[in-house]
Amino acid sequence: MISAVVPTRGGAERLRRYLPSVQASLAASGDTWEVVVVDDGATLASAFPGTRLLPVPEARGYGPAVNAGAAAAAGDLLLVLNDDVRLEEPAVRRMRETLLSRADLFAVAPAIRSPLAGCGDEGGKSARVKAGLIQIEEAPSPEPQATFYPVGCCYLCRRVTFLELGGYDDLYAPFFWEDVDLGYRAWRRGLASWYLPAAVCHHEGSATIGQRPMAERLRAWHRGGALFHLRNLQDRRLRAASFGAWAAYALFDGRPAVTEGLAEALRRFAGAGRRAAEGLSDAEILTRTGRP
Amino acid sequence: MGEGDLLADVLRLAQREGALEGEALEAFLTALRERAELIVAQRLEENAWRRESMAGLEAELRAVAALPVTHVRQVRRRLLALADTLRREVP
Repeated sequence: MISAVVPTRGGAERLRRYLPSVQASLAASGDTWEVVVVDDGATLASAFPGTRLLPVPEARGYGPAVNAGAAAAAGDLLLVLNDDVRLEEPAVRRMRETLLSRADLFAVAPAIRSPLAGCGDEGGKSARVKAGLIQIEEAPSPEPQATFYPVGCCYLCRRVTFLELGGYDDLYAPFFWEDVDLGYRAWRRGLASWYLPAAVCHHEGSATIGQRPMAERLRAWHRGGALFHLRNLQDRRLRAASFGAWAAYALFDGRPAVTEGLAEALRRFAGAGRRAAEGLSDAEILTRTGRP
Repeated sequence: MGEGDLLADVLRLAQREGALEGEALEAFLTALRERAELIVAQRLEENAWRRESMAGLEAELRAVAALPVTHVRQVRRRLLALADTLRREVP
């Protein structure tokens, strides 16, 4: 059974517009299914037809909302979605077939057609180290290939793996970098994220986050990025380089949103610490997900 | 973690993790230099964009003086939209 988990924050109009395509794609998947709408902040008046409504009174953002949906889901497969995603009908079937054909996959990510993507598709991602920090880049391809992480707006994974990994890390709430962090933790265990361009979704793009002020988004972006490096990197030289990069921001950037974001990351990290080192090395992960 | 001194906090954590010793220090310094160059280049680019936008704004203001009164409202709308864009782009 596939459980689609759709977190939303005041997105009634978007759900009305996009849920029918999700339900149609699920219906064509060859599996049984349910749709769990996680109402972050509990503002929806009632459940949409054919969906289960999970109200979360205290709005905490994307990651905690998906975690709540995953905990309440009945399916063995999770289809994680944003509320502004339109699926092409064969998308879920194709992702499911690929996921079930390989035991070494954490997640299957579709092509994500989006106005936010420079190349028009934000589904495939590669990563490399640039000036001390891991830089994520769009990596579209006509062929299926490994991707650095499954973008949070649409992917399919096994629910048990999502839960074993601990789901999204609340430390990143309310948004940004939680999906990168989850994908990296999966890679650390040797579980790949796989980009499948034959499955297509269309993403309106930051329909919820885009409404937040730019300073808040910039702060969250830098906070999440710093947390990702601090929490996950194990290689001594990579960690040292990331500290060099943060020092450069502290010395030369000067934008309050950036420095506040980095300061918040240090405070959050102080209470959480670095993750365990077991599994693939940082270099191995970057080799598997980088592009020449 | 101290309040208000990000650089000191970063350096304290880096020192605790041994990032300011041996080959780690070399990686730290290389990244500091490369990232600083990127940040400065980015800020210069942003400042150039702002200068360009301000020059456009000034040209629009000069043009207002030469317009018939009936067109002023339309120009005002354009100026306000441009000012709004500038405000949104400054974090």
